[in-house]
Amino acid sequence: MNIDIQAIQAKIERESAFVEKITAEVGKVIVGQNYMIERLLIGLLADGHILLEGVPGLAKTMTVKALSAAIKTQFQRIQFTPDLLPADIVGTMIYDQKNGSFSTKKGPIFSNLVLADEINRSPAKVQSALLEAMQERQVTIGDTTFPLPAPFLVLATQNPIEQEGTYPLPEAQVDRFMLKLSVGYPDRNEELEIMRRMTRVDLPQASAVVSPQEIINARRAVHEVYIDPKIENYIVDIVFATRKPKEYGLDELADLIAYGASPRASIYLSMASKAHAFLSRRGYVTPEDIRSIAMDVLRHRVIITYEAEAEEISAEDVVRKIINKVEVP
Amino acid sequence: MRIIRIAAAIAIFFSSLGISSLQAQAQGEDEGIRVSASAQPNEVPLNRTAVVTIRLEWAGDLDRYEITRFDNPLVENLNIIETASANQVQVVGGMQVARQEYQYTVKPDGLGMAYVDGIIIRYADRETGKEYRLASSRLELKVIDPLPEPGSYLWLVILLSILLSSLIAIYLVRRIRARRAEAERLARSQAASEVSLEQKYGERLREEIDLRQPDLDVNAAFGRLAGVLRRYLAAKYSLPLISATTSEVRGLMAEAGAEERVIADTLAVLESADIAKFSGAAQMRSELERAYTILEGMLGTDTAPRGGAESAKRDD
Repeated sequence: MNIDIQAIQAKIERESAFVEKITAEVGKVIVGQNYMIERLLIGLLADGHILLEGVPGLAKTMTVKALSAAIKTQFQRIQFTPDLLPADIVGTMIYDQKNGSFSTKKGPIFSNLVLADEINRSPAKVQSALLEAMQERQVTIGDTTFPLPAPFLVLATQNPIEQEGTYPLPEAQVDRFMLKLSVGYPDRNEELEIMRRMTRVDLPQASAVVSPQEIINARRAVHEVYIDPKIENYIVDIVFATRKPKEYGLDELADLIAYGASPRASIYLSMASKAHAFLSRRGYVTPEDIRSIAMDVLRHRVIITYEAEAEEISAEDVVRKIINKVEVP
Repeated sequence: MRIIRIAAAIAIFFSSLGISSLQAQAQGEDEGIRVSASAQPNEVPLNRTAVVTIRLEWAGDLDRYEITRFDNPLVENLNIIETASANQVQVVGGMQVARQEYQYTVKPDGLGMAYVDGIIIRYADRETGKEYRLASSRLELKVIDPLPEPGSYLWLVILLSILLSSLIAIYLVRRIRARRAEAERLARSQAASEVSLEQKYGERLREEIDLRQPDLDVNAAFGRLAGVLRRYLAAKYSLPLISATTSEVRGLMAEAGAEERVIADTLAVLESADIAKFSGAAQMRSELERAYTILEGMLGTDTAPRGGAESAKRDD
């Protein structure tokens, strides 16, 4: 197969020029958290929604706000609470007494970037309404179906420590998020810089440096990133190792995995690795891209057994073992 | 009266004797001697013998009568192979009884019926000097199929023993040979393990890539070259380089204390190989030769003669 890698490379170079600008703009507001920022861009470029998990105060919401400000897009934040209703998200029909007719009032989901803050605080029907819109990329209000704007990206957050009064997302719905990020604490120097920056009178603000059209063009370029059959097989090997660990010499994991990753994992791993290669300004995917993104794609798709939980082995431990075992092409 | 009582006693005595075999009895002319003939058994296999017994009995002392004539019996379909005789005196019910017994061991000639003709016995009463004549009954024997001889299956036992012994011998020989082969293999592998890693992987590099081939698939060769390098370094530094990416290889080798020059050479080869393997673009043959040379340098060997399309043309 003849691939014009130079043409692809040139396109990637051209279309990825905004990455530095957007990173610099978000960096004005956010200290550190490079991992989270890079993953948000991957979600944006690969058209995949992201679930962020981390304790409160790690700038999850602020990062998403800064990103949306840098992209010149519509941004909506929805605080999920136990009394939230599906109509509060997707919108509803309102009766106009003057005209004697119903008019549509679109909900906050009609936005380019939607931050679903503490998604596990709302009951299943509300989560369901959001997740359906995420999947279908359209919303039906009354008799009319409205497409959601492009780009459309949902970034949901959840707190891993306060579980009382929450409604954990079912596995089937968690599977719809392309990435699940585990946001960690900043290091000492970052903490110092955060403290200094956030205690100033004039808080830093991100300004729009990228248009939504540039994001859409970049998405097209991401699709053109070359992925070799060897890399595709590597992806399938990793996903299959979550289902049949014994076939990959991982006998010790057989009793620890209740359910392996779904085919969505393969799809998202392929897409996210292309986006990762794009961010590295490379026209083709390497095993580095797969290894870099695999944990975020797989950690919420590998369901561990009670036995694993009893032994305090997490899904991340399992995925790490798999990644470290499967042979790189 | 006395004679009647004696005769009755003898009759009771003889009736008490249980003879299961074929038996015939006769009484002497003076009712003094009683003769009985029996064959044991009366059905005799062709390859076995039967015993024909002629018994004479009378009341009183053994020398009361003198047996003047006692011929061997005439036999049909039989051969007399052995004879024996015995005298005996017993007291039964307070009365003395004398007995003379003649035994003939006979062997059949053929299947069917066999006969022992009655014999004529002549005797004389020593008290009266009178002579008497007595004849025994004719006996029939049925000759049946021969029985298997105890040693008739010996040849089979011997054959099986020989076969079993042969099998055991073959097994032992094979086992000894297998042990020798295993020992030789171990010795060879031990000898092979004494070959340096560089030599071993140099040999493998030669096997994997032949630069003299003019139509060498450069991208595929890059993949094999990177594989040899990764396996060599994994063995040398005991690192999991097979499941590591190129950037991870750098970190792992640095941690293992590899020299900077070796790390730089490794990355130069692996990065070129990554482009060849994953970019989809056809790599230059010169790039492969450069990477090959670097790897040769790392292995400290000049493993293969240079060649390829250009060299082939030059050779022409």
